[in-house]
Amino acid sequence: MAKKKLLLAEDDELLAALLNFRLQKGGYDVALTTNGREVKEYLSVTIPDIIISDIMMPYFSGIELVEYVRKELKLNVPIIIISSAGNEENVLNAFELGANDFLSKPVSPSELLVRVERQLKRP
Amino acid sequence: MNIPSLTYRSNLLISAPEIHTDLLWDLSVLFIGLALVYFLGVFYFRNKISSNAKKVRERKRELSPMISEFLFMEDDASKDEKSNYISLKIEIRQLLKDTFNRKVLSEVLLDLRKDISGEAQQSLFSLYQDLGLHKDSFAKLKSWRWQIVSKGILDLTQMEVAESYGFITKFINDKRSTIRKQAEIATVTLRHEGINYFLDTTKYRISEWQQLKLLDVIRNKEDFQPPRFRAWLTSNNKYVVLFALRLIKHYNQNDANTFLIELVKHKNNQIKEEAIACIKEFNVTDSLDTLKLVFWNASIIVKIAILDAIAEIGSEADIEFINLIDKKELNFSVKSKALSTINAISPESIMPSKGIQDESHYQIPNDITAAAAKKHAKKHEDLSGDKDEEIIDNDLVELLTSEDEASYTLKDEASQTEKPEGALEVDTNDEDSLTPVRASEEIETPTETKEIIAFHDIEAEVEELIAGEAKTDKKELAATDWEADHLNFIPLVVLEEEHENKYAPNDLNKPKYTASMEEVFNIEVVYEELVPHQESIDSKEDAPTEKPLSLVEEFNLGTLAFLPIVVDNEQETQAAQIEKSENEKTNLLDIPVMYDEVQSNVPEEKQNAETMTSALETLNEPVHKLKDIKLPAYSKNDSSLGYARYNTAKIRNAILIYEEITHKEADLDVMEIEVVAPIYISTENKSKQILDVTFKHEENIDEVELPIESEQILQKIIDDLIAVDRPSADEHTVANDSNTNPDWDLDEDNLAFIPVSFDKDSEELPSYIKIEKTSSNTIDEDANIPPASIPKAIFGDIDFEASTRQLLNDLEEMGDQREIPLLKELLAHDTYDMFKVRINSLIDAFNHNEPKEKIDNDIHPFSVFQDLFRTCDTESKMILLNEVVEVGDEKEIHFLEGLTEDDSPAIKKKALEVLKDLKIKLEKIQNESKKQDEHPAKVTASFNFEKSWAAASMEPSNDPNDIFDLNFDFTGELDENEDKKNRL
Repeated sequence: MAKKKLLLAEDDELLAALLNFRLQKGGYDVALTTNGREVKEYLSVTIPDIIISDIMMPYFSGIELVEYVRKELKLNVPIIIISSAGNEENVLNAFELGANDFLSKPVSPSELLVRVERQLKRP
Repeated sequence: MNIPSLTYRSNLLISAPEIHTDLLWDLSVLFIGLALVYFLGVFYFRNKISSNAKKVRERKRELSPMISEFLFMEDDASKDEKSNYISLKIEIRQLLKDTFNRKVLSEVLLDLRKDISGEAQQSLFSLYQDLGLHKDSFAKLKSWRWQIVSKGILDLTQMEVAESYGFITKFINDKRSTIRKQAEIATVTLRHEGINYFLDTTKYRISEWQQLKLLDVIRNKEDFQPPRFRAWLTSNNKYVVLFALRLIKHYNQNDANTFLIELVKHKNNQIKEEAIACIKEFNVTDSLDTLKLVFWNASIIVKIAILDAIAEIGSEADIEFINLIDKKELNFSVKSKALSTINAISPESIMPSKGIQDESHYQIPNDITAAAAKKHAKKHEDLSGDKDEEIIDNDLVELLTSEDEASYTLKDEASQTEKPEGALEVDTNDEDSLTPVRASEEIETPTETKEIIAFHDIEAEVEELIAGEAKTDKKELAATDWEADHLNFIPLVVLEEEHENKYAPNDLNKPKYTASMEEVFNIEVVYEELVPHQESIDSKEDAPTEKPLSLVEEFNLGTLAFLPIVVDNEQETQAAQIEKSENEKTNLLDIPVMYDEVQSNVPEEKQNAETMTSALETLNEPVHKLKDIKLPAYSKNDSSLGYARYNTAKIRNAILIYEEITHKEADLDVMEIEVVAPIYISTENKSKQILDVTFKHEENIDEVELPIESEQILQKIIDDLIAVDRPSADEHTVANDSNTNPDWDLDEDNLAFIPVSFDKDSEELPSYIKIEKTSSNTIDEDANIPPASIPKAIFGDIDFEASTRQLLNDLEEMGDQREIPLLKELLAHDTYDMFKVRINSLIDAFNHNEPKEKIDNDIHPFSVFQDLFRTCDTESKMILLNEVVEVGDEKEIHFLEGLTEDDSPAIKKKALEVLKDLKIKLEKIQNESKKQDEHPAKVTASFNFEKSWAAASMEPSNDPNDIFDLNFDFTGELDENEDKKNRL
């Protein structure tokens, strides 16, 4: 069975590396991007099965990413947003634009894995 | 030509500084030099910082996968993963030798700590300590620089190094505030009881900000049970008292009312305020007297706070006191508060009077129709005289001039602020209008507090109103004819107090167009239904439906199998004492016996012992019964006794396990006896060595006296043994059973076949006796088997020759000089010359050979380090060896022993050190486990059978070659206290 493709957009390299490791261990084919430009480049080539994105990213925020995916690319890919604590307003914006789920930092890698699985199981 | 030495020359008109050109050049050079130095410095430091940052970044990139590997390492990982894990550990340890790497790794872990939670975070904390990075933080605590100490405390707090608690608490009263504050937060964070310690010991001020931070820490602590903070209301540190008061209020600890009342008298205003706030929060009505007492000398803020509290908890009885305040108090705020307090206790007692404009201010606009004005004036004249008429007219003018001709207007507070079109406007902006007036003195309390004024065809309305008023002589408009249904769309926003204040109490010009309250309240209101967000619904649907937990159904005792069985030692001791007292009662021969828990070493042999015990029980009703008997190999070389001697020799070395039998339900107490020296028994005018018994676990044996029954049992055993110990070389016959094995210790099947010989008088001449495995000789204490049946002999055709041959073959193949006694034994018993020759040759061979190593010594357990060592360089090997001490066990000993012969002297030396350390470690572990296993009571006892043997005409012999060696002579120490306890 082919691995599910997962796009992880996180500008904090340490956290990105950690989540990347955990998700790969969880059986996903993870594409790691650290800024909005890389995300756009990746999405122009590949459509992932799920996207995990931090809200605060250089060049292209998580909210913009949601808008880009939903309105421009018109993709129905599940999007999980990672936000810092106290950033609820942005989270609400992201939900309005079509984000499917969100996690607040500090992130539990195990919880993230569960949420990814849950989103992928949705019809 | 002279070159002018000065740049400027002074003349009459201009005075310029006379500066030497060289000096200017020099200065220029200097400043250019300085600029260069500055720019070079900037360049250098900038580059250094950026290169350092780059280096750190790269190192972080290198380290982050390692950290991920560590954090997500699972216990059930495969061998490869574990091996990889150890390699990584070695690698990371090598990296950590460098200070820079340590610093970077610390930074990485501290950064990650902020971003991750859950199990991963816990793993992170463990890793931080495993890698010894916390030691660096501890080192920081010793620094003289406050910022480093503070950073050290912060690191230890963030990484939750609980063991640092003791070190950090020392800084709670540090004179440097940053360190102190950091230590305070750390103390509260690291342990639940930290808040107690902090409040107990702090001597310094606790700032408001710090209090907020501390509160935030304890609020976010999991499973935190707040202490009763009233304990710190007596603190000498007023900031502690203040913080405690706030915590009391936060946690709603209403058990400190007396303290709170006392603290109202505190000289510190902040404490007073907080105490009053608590009083107000918890409705401490007992405090009213104290509040009144304190009031007069308090500051304005405290006075207001007190009045606020009285407003909350006071009653009408307190109004008198507040009236007094109103009269005597000069401060405007306090006076105002006093009046509002009265109103709070007794609503509408006081109404505003000052600033209320006279009705003459309200004139009817000029554009109102003359007819309407006349009618209105006439009507009003009838009602209240000329003055009032004028005011009404003014009101009407105002109303009629409003641009909007809306039918209805709600007049309320909201309409005041937004001034909806068509609303009735009353000037209440004058600040003096808030000045209250005593209701009883000057004003009438309005009967209706909420009004709705409807303007429905105003002109006609006014006319009707005038007419209606004239008829009814009432001040209010009975708006019976407007339809309340029309107001359904308007929200009801009503503020009672302020609405009241709009009108002077004695103002007769209150709105004339008021609907009755009844009608207002009957307005139909449609509530908007709030529907949950779709996402929430989805999430609820998606949430896994948890099955209700059924404890009874789902609980499986098997799942608790891992739990240790805990035995109450006390019960055991009590049982032992009861038994002892029982034994003391019998007190027949006063034979001291040491006994305690005994375990059977050879369970296969229990059947024999059980059979014998059962038989003995039937005879003597013993206090002790023979529980088990272990019969090791015979080593005598006395051919005259033949096979019978062989058997008794085995019995001679028996381990006797006694099970105590009492009439009550006592615990099983058995003793393990091992033969060590011979004792002679005189039977049939012949002195024979019988049994020599020692206890295996002297330290666990309680002293008891063995009653005569026990002696009889022993004697019976001995008699039985002697009965079979009457051999005759002529009489015994070699059996042909090929399954027979002379050594009882070999295996279970062979244990059933015991070679025996019989007396001359014996009618039967069997060569082997087989102990039959029946239900009666299994462990069944109630079995009543006659002694004659123990052991029950079954005579069969056994191929002794074949078995002997096989035995000799085995001995030749695997034996060494330790087998010589057995061979001699065989030699003594064997009648075949062929075997004798072979046995002699084997004895000779073994005599000249060194003992072989045990086979199991050659099969060493696998050491995981052995595999890793193959691919490591010397340095890694050295690190790995360090790891061996930490994580290794006995499996690594052989591996290390091998390394002691390594080519590299460094590894050789290191291996020796590690081997030594590992052995010490293992020894420690063993000792600890032994200590745990040991019976708490160190008890020994003595057991002397000489007396009983003497009674049985048995004398101890010093001849070590005799068959039986029975000399119970156990001496030992018995703790006096324990002894007394046992005897009591």
